[in-house]
Amino acid sequence: MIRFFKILKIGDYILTVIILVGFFVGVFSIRSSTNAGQAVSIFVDNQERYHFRIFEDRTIKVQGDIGETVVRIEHGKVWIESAPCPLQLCKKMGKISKSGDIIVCIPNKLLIRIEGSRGNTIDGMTM
Amino acid sequence: MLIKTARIGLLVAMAAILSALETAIPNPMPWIRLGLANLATILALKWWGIREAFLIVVLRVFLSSLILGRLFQITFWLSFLGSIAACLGMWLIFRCFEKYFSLIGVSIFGALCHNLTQIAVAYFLFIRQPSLFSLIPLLLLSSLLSGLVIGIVAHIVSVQIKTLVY
Repeated sequence: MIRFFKILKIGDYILTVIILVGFFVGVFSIRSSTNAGQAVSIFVDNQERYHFRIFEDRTIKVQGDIGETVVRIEHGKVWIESAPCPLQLCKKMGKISKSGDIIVCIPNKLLIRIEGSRGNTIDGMTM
Repeated sequence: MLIKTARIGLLVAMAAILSALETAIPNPMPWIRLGLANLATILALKWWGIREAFLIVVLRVFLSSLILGRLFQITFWLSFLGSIAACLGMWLIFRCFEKYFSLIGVSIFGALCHNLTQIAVAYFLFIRQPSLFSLIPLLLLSSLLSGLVIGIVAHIVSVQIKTLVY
């Protein structure tokens, strides 16, 4: 353990501190909206294809770039039931329910985003 | 010259196999990988320089994509551009700030370049949704951890193999 700290140099510490600060700033600025979502938007190739209320349970088959992704909305949660992509990362992203949460499937050019109630969340901020 | 070519080939082979094997490791969350192949890039930068490292990166990405069957797919471009960015970023550190960084810092910086480039490429080429950037904090943390692990391994390897003549 002591030998490990002997390896490190000043730049390593500075880099680590910068990354950690960036992480915490990012987490607090993004996760500050912990209110439950109201609606689900499904984008394919940057076009908004579907828009649903999150409390109406349903299963949607979305035709993407390489195949069909099955999206399930149930009890205010959204997840991917099946996907045509090889790595299945979108399925592993699990269930999302908070406004601002996203599921992305890059091979299929699919993005699912939970929207909050209008006027309650900040969509963008300039400084 | 022949020995150097053989060594470059060894590093390419090692990196390609490592990045193929890496897909077998279950990842705690999507988008988070260990980046074992970065080891070869770091070692090449330390032993030789940018030309050899660049060569290794390009060959490795092609080879591992062939093994994984994703040549010229979207994930191929993400991996390709991310790896090149990591290579250039780490070269910059070696070039300008070598006195202040150990291999661990270099490796963390490389992982950072890789992840941020991937998210930028994903944004500009594939999914133009600003909400994609909400993944950045997660990627920062993952760069730190995976860079640390790979950096430690790279340090151990470079201490063990000190007498590299060519």
